[in-house]
Amino acid sequence: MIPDTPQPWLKLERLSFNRGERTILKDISLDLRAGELTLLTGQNGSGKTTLLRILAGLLKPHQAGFQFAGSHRKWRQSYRFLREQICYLHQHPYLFDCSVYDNIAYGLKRKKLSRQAITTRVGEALELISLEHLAQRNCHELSGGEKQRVAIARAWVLSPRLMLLDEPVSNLDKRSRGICYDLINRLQQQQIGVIYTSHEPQVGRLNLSRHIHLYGGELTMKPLQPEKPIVVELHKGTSGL
Amino acid sequence: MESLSAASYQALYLLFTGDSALWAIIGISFSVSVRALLYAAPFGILTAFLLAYFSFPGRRLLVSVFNTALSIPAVVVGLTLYILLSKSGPLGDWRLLFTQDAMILGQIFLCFPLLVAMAHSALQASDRRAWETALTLGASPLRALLTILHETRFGLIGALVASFGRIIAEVGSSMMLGGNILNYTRNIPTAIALETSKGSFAEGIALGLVLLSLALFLNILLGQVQGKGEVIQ
Amino acid sequence: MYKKIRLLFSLCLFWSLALAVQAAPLRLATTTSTQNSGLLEILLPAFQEQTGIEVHVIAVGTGKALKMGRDGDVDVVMVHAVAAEEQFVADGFGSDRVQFMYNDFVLVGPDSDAAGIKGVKTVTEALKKISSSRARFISRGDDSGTHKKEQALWKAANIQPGGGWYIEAGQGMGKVLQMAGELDGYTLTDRGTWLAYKGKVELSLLNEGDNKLSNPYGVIAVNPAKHPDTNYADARKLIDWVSSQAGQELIRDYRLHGEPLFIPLLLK
Repeated sequence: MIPDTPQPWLKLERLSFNRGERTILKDISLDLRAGELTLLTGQNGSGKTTLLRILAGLLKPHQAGFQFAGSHRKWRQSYRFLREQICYLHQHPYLFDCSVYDNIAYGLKRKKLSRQAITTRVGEALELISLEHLAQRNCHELSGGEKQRVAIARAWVLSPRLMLLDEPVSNLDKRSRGICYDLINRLQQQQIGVIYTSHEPQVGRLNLSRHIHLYGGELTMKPLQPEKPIVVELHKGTSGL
Repeated sequence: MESLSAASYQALYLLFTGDSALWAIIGISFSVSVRALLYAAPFGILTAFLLAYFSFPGRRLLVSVFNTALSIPAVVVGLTLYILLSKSGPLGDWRLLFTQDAMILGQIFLCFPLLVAMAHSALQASDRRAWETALTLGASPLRALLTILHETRFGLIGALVASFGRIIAEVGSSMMLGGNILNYTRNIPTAIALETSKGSFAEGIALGLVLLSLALFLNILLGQVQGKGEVIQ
Repeated sequence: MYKKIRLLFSLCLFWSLALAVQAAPLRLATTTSTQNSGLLEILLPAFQEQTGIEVHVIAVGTGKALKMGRDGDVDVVMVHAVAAEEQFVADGFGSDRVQFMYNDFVLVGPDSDAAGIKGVKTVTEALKKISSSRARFISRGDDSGTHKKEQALWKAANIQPGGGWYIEAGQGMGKVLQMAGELDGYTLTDRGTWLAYKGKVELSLLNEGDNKLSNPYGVIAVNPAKHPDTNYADARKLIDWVSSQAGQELIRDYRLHGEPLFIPLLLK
């Protein structure tokens, strides 16, 4: 957690999104600060993914205002900036049909870096996720946990201000979850903001800055709660059935 | 009836002794059809992409139109373009009739619907996450499009191969628009039609063999490519 | 249900039997230009009325028509390519060849007549003018009777046609006339096809009347010694009939677009 709260680099104002007649998000406002690790909870279908996709500049909201660099912007003037600054990771990450190395280098190539610079940066990323030995492997041969780590590394190399992780651990085994949590904590140490969604408040050993909850299209702040062993038990109990 | 085997034997002899007239015809066939495909492919694939990835009014109708256009006979395409390109037609001033360009035009129209329909189904089956992932990693929409094409390359190659197969073997529009002119617009199918009308079956069979082995080769290639796609996915 | 099926089945059987019992029709291979002239639509019904023989016409190029004769796929051929006909008989595939009528070829070309062949006396001179002015000439290029005639005419004029102005189309007469119209080219055509296309293409008749342009038609039975299963008897009847007074008069009186087309050779 950051002791003194700096100015938010992005303010989201009065965001609404409808799907047909149904209101998914209603007048949501959200401040985003550097290095913040936010937990976003909500039931399935509560609009978590929709919110993340709008934030990432991938989905056009019904109505929204953005405030960055000290000025108010509309969606049309914002979505390119959002795509540049924010990386969205799908619940099941999509890896391109090529090697691990080429996947991680994908965004760097778009930035027209030199070959040398790309090699160095990808090397750092592989070290971060401890998958140096799989660099030349095709991504279709990776396990679920490895895919998730490659996806995180692929976003990390671009040094985004914010990464949006959509239930990244929901399909991973316990060991892979642990690795993922460590990775997310390290992102935060590097001043990369993270919004992390989960349909349950159990988040292992993540070093959370805040917890927000989405219900009925509205956001509410929740107090940060220490890890509750009972919830873990309950979770294990249900999954065992 | 002279025996089929004798005609086939003579056909092989013609092929492998490098009968220059025969090979000239084969060359024209390929050069025309490859160019037609090269012109049609970017527009066809782009159209398929727009149909698969964006919703706009009339999209469904357009998909139906392309699927219907699949069954338009080659002669109808040929006749329509003939009327347009004829001296007395609206595009007569272009002076395209009985040129390779006219044949190319006809073949573009022939393979376009097939190309769009097959590329559309390949792209529709592709993963939308690939598009979003490319964008969120800072790719421009054009770059993201290229990435999607790379991801669906097996289906798209299948579409290209099938389209090529359709136009290299069609006789109706090539005959009408090209005019079967020796050393200029005489391609394999129109030459087969001519040789058959002359009663020289050996030459006809030789050209038929070329088409047949080409079809075999393309099908094997397609099987390989799509088989590979299945294993990976 | 079963009964119905049986009834249907026997009906089908009966029908096929009835078809089989019916006399086998006479198969005539001829050229597309003969077919397009419309003469057969006058000749053959009259022939059938008199003899009861039905004639199935297969219209193809001269080369293929003769090949069908060689292969015994037809009973009789009617073509207009003297040298090829003589070869066909000499090789023993045909018999009873009769030249029974002729029409003529004409040179057609663009109204502007850049080569200036209009009114030129001989066809040889006209061809020389076309080749020296390098005006476009569309050749059938399909080994048809007309194509063979054209090649003979070039040879007689001592010209080896070739180069950009000489276009070998490899298509039927009608198509070649259309191409000549579109490309402002000259071409050699039989008068029958010309009359059928006159007015539909932007061409005019520029040269006619030279003796070299005459186009005799032959009718040849397929030699029963080579192919015993062909219908030689009926083929012979057709040959006799087109040579007869009645047949020859029909040929003389035939009009296409109001103009006479064929001149009978055996009229007494």
